Amino acid sequence: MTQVIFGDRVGRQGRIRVGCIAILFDEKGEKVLLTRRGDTGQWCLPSGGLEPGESVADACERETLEKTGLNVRVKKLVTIYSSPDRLVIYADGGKFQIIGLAFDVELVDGHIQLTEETIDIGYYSLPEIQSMDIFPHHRQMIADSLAGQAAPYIR
Amino acid sequence: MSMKTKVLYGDHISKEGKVRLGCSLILFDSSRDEVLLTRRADNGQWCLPGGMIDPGETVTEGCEREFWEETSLRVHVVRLTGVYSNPNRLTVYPDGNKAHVVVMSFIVEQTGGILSLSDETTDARYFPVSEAVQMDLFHGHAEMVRDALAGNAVAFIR
Repeated sequence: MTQVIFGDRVGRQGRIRVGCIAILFDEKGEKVLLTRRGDTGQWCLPSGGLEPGESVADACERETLEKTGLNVRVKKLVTIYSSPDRLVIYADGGKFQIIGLAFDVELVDGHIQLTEETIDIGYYSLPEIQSMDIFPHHRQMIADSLAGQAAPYIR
Repeated sequence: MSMKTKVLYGDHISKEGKVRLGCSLILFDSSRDEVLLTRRADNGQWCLPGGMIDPGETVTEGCEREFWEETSLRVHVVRLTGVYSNPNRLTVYPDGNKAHVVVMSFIVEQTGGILSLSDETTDARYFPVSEAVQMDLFHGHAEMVRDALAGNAVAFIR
């Protein structure tokens, strides 16, 4: 079970990890692709940690494929999220302050499908998302993407 | 053991290291004709000020702390100009630790302080940007200066 703890500078208790997050809208640009995590039951954007041997774009594209079955291509950096007040504790005891890089991505090919780490998946409209239990910072990234600003947000 | 930080290149060689997240910081003078460079104590190369983001701080705080430690200048982050994560390079530190360093490059502006040296820095001064991009800067830093000069609002993803 993955735990997420919030608290003043709680990130100090962990190590830095780089996360890469994909923001993919449907063809009409009205609905965004979300997955539901098996470990916390919460909804989130397709995402995961950067591994040695890959670029940030590689990591974003690999994680999206692993979590959704879709091949995507990174287009633009939307948000850097680095709150030190959030600590992720994995089942193995590893503690991390995750610095997340959220990218607008475009679909290359593939069909959405569930994977081992994902218990639900789909495209959801903004009104639908409002009532879903979604990572708060991922909700912010979706808003950042829709704002359409060229320069990345630094959060 | 070598006391210098080395950078090795090879096909996906960063697999051999741990992921680390750093920042490189670009301070232009008011005319934007010159850029501040520091000289590394460990290998004598000129480079952009910067360092690693520590747990417990935001990316912005990490940038501002590193700049202060290396130059005694107070700055604040203006914008992100690029993210650099070439998987075909590996950084090897004097202690033998190996890292796949992901670097975020930011333009900063000075808010206070007087330029001075630190333990990690043997020299610090402004160079004309035309000269800086031709110098044998630390790995990848000339590209970061060029990218910042391009003036794009969209960040480079490299």
